[in-house]
Amino acid sequence: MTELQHTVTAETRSRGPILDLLSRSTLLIILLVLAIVAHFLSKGTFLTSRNIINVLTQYSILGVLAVGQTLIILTAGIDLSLGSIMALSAVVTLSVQGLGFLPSLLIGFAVGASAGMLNGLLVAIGRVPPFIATLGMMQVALGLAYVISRGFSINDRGGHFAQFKVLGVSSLVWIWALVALLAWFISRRTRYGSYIYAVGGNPRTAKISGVPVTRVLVFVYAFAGLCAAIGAVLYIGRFGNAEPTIGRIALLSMSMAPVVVGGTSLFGGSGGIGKTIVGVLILGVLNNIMTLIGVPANPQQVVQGTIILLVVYMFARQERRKQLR
Amino acid sequence: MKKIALPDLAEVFKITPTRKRLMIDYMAWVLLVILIIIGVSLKGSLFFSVSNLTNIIEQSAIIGVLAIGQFVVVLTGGIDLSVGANMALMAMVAGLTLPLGVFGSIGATLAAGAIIGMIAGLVVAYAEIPPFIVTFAMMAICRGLALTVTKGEAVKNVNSPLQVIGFGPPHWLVWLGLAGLVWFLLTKTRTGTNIYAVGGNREAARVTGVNPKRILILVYVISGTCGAVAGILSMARYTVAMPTAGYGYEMQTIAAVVLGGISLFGGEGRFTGAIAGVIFVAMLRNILDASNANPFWAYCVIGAVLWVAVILRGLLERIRS
Amino acid sequence: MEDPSWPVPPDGGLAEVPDTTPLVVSARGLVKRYGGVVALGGVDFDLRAGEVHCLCGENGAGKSTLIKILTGAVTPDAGTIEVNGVDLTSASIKQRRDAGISVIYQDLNLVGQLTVAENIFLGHEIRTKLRMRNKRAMNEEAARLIDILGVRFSPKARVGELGISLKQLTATARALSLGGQVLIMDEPSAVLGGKELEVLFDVVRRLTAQGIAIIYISHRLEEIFHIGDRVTVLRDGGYVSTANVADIDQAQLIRDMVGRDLGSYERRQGDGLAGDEILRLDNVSSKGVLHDISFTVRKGEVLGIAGLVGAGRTELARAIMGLDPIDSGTVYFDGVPRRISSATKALKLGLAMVPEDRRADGIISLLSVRENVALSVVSKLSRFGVIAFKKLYGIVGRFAGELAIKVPNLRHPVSSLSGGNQQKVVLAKCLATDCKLLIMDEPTVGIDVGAKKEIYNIIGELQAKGIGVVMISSELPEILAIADRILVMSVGRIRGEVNPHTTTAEEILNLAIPPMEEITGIGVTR
Repeated sequence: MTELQHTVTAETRSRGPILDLLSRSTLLIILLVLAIVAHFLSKGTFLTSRNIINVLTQYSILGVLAVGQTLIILTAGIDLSLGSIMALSAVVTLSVQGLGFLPSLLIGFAVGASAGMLNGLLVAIGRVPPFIATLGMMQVALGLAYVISRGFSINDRGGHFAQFKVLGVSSLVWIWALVALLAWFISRRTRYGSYIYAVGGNPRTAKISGVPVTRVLVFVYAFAGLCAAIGAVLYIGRFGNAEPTIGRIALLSMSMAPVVVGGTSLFGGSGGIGKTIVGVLILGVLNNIMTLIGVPANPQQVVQGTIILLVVYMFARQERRKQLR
Repeated sequence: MKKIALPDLAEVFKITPTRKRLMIDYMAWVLLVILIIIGVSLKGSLFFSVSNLTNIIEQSAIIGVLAIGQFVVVLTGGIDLSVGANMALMAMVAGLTLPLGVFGSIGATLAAGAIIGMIAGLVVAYAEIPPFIVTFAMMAICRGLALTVTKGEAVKNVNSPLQVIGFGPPHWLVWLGLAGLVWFLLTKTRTGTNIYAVGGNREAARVTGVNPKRILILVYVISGTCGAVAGILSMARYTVAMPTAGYGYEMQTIAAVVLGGISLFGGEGRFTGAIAGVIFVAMLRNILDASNANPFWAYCVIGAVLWVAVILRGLLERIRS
Repeated sequence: MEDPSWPVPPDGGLAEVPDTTPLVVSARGLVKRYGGVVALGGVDFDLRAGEVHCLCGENGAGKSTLIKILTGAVTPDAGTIEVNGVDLTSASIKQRRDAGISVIYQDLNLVGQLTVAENIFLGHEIRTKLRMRNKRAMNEEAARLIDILGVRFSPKARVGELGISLKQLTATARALSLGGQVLIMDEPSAVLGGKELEVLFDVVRRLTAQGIAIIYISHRLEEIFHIGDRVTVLRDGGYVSTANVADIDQAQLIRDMVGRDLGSYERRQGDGLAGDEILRLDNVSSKGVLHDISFTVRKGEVLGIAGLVGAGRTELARAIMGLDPIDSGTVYFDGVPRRISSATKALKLGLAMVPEDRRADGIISLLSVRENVALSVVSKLSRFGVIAFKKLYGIVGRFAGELAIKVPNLRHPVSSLSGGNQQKVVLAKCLATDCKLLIMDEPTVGIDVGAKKEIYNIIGELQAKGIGVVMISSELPEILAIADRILVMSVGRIRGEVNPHTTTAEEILNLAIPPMEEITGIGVTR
């Protein structure tokens, strides 16, 4: 039985994003059931293409952050600061918008990537445990965002960042898809991808086998920082402004939630981008159901926290059973 | 991972294991002295004025109470990211249960804090999920509850009977009293040794008959109760409980205990060091407040202090001797 | 003290334990199954007061399962255990400890951050009337216990700062403080050197003189003959024999353990085709770890490195691979002096290593066989970072086939493989890099006999291809059979080179046991 499970997980790993998705059938079935429940609760309006696109648009920002978070968690790390980095990049991008669209965009990206890189350096060279290093960054980035914005909301004056539709789907969703595809490609098709899994699976073996562990770690944290900066652009695109507090938005500060819900192991080395996307969708549908049955926004946060605990517990138990074999 | 070998340093300064430990234990005190020098050079004799010192100590009290819980949790190799959110929730509980009278309210709040801590402890002990995830989720749950209970509003009690506490024992006394209690627990009782043992080598503790699960639950209950005390103090002091209060306190408490020389891997740490760490953080905020910089720099500075403290401790630890 | 390796007991010989001595432990027909695997299949075991009863057997023979059953950590599926005539078959760990059974595990289970006294009394602290810890009483009592052991060190010292020998003594004092009547010592000598061993034996004798019975587990057969009264041999979970040590010889013991004679290692006919020099170390030192190491490895030769555990062999391998720093001296590879600062650089030059601890350093158990083998070579087979999967999997498949890794599909997780096949995965990973020199640290630890033979054959093939091999091994028969030359190390130095064709196990052991004056750490009063 466990042999079989092993085989299944191992076999599915390098088949491609679509099969990868399909093979996570349990989660997909959960997603489907939730979607059908939502459909009935909404009296038949949930599973319409319009609404689906809406949900996707709504969750694209979280989705982009979660993509970055996935690569970090694959190395057995964690980044608590992605929400704050996003806030910082958003504030920086908008405060330099006078320089023009592209320069301000690039400056925002640079800020996000360097904040992430600093996280990576602290973890890899400073040997600071990831949750401590990024907890510090959570505050530092947020503090900087406050300092730069003086606590005020900044508007996207020219509307350069505003979202637009391509083939009837918001640009936010397309960008999310592109980022996810890029991360999938990195994790499955490149040298660094195999290193990421190796470092998460067993850093000592990785090192002896010639994997540049330090560089891999710095890379994933920097990449996640970049994802946060991209998330910042999406945020501006959706809401037309940015302020430091956006880093504290419950949903966005919990970018590890969809990753663990999707089934990527917090202990590293197993999981992937495809799972995370399913995780984002599950959370999205679940939150929609809660809204539909009249749960206000705040308790949703409570539910979210509880879900993380439950899911991590589930996976931890499964993992232990495998070990006990 | 780069190897940072410091063989010569150990030789030059004749660093024995004992001296190394002393350096780690008293890191916070040394940094505190440095900070005092900086403070004096910035503010002159004003820094030592009674009002300023009282201010610092008062500012320490709430963080200090939370840091006690954080210290005990970190001793077992865990971490409590929910202390700030828990405090915010507890302040609300204190405010909302005031109709029960002062003691009723205090009792209810302490019980609520202990329950929150116990839930976290149970999950850490039995589900074997990394503590930072458990308490991070707990943080979300507490904040969510705090926001839900009041629909995002603050709980206001302008003429709160809890202000009795404000006029009664000064907050710093509550802090030091609680600190004394926990110090006694850690150094004078069997449970104290067991907490260190579980943090130092859980398996060894288990085979010698210590029940690590019970110890783990206990430390999170202590931390949750500390959150309740901090919540009561904050309600008494500010007479309002904001659902967003205590944001970033988890980091300040972690910075304080790490500065105090505790090992994030558990088993090692002097309680007095953590107190020095708390005063350091409060004094740092005091100095930053006094300088005319944007108050939000404090976030950045304390975040950076956390990094420096962890790296510094790691370097001291790695000196070959 | 003429012979430093096996100190002579002070009373001049082994005391015969008469059969009339009362039985402290009597276990009958113990059975333990894990799923379909029989870990212990009907084992009887007796222990008499004041005796040293040795327990022998290869890895997986069932020794640790038996110990776990005796201590109550594992419940047997069948069988009974009596301690001092009381049936304790279903008693808990604590009840058995109260009955006087204590264990000193190999990893000692001490809390490094606490003091010696705190460790000794962990879980059963001496308390004042007010139920507070009585530190002074504990320190005094700890000092008394340490005194019983016949050594001197401070009970106030932090355990983390003590040497391994004093740690072990702390664990022993702990067992004494529990009023232990039965002391189980799990490979106590594995980490000790000459003089420390002497202290250990002395302690064992003092304890037995007080009527304490000791179950002594060791891989070193010589020790059994030195310290043991009786010996029980287990093999593949089954009971083989129990004998008085005085009535048995080493050859018999080995036959009982292995179930066959050791003649199965056949020396490869050395064709002496060692070619040009590949690796040369010139006075390589690393502070406190390696001292003035110089040697040469040539193409197509197997250089054996023998020594006891802790001799610095693994450290040497790690230093060559760039995993640990070298403070002085030069490493020449292909005649060119090189500074190898990371494993990445070492692999690029053409060095590869099969590490000692396969699970911790060799494999990534979450990943598939294919991903494991590919790990070291993937950098060569990617363009702009994108992996050329066809080529990569071609190479992986070729090496997996050449080494005959038994797996239905290379996408299987490496964790589902047997130890021997996992080792082949590690080997394949190294060989896929096209290395010129392969360092193998204990390549046959924990794998079955068949797989061992296959590994030896692979080494032979590597030689034929002109690859230089450095083989670190603690198994003397193995290193004698496989190596072309043998260096013997102890305490971070090379003590000599021997010719496997002419040398004996005794000669190697004599070189491997470090000179007395180099071992410190005993009798320190702090």
